[in-house]
Amino acid sequence: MQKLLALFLWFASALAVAGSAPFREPPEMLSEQEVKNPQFVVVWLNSAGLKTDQKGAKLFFSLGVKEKKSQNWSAASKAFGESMRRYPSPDALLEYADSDLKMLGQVRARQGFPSKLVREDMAHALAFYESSLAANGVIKSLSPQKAKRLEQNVSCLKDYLLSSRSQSDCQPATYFSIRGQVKG
Amino acid sequence: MNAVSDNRYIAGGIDGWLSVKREPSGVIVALPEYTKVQVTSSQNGRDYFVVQEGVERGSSFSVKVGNLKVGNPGYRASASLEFSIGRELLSFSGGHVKAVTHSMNPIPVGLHPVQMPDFPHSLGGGYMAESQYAKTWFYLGHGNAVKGNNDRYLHPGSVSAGCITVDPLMWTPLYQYLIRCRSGNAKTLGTISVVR
Repeated sequence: MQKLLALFLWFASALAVAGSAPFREPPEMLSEQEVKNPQFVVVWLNSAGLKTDQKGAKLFFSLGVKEKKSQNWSAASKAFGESMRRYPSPDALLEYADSDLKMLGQVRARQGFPSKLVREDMAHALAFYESSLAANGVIKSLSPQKAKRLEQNVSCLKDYLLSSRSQSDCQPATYFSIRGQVKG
Repeated sequence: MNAVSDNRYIAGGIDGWLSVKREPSGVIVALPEYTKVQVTSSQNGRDYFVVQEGVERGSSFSVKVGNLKVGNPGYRASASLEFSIGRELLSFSGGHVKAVTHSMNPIPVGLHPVQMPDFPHSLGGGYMAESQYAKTWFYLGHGNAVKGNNDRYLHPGSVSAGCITVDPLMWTPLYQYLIRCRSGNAKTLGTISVVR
């Protein structure tokens, strides 16, 4: 929250002195807490002139796509996670949430789906889905189909966390029946 | 053909790996630097050898003459590392480095073996600017890593999926310490104790 406030203050002061002083360079890597905060992501993406590591973000995103094709969810999660922390694009946030949840689904399957941990996993994923939705409000890079699915994910995960029951068409919940590769 | 039988050690490239040819298939495989090998013969400018430790122990390879060094590379005693999940700190005899694990899937508390590097990990390629050894990951389990078995590694990066993920800017000194450690079982470099 302090970082969010600091970013707001910095952005406001930067606007006030625009043209008379150079923009301060932001940190190149965002923290997990920052990228799972939708308000922070919106402010960050709206802050034109911020230095971003888009090259690194693209490199890791492409590595994530490769791992996703192999259904190596933990490696995909790492790669998309590295990408979103360099540039929190709607796609990187969405792919990270999806692949991380699929990896956790495999872990929980071996543990017999302990309900407390499953709820925490869903809450963890919801934060990133909400950040992706917020980022898409700024960048609008998701296809209409992806954006619609993302909205459904957010909605049904919120319902699940309130009721502890998942709708049959709640896609993130179905990841918890997937079996496959897990790599730390 | 010169029939020889002597111990030598892999001289790695700039990233710590040496590409060699598996015999007799000819498939190219990368071996980590300082791996102990036994040269069995030399002919046509190539050394033929059998790996003495690590995941390729007992396998036969060949490589151009000049890539296998004579003399102990300066092996150290078994490594004894400690990783504190709460403090996000990994301690070794050479100092401390920042490290994290996944908040929802943390590496279990307890003692884990640290194995010799198995193969170059492509995901590390994104961190070559921070450490030339970023593709070298150390498996923290028994036996060989098997996909789908929740394999956990010690590796550089910023995002963990349940491994111990070390700040890439601090990876090189940890790598340079670990790569010469030996437990004496031809498989592991030491152990890491994971604490809360």
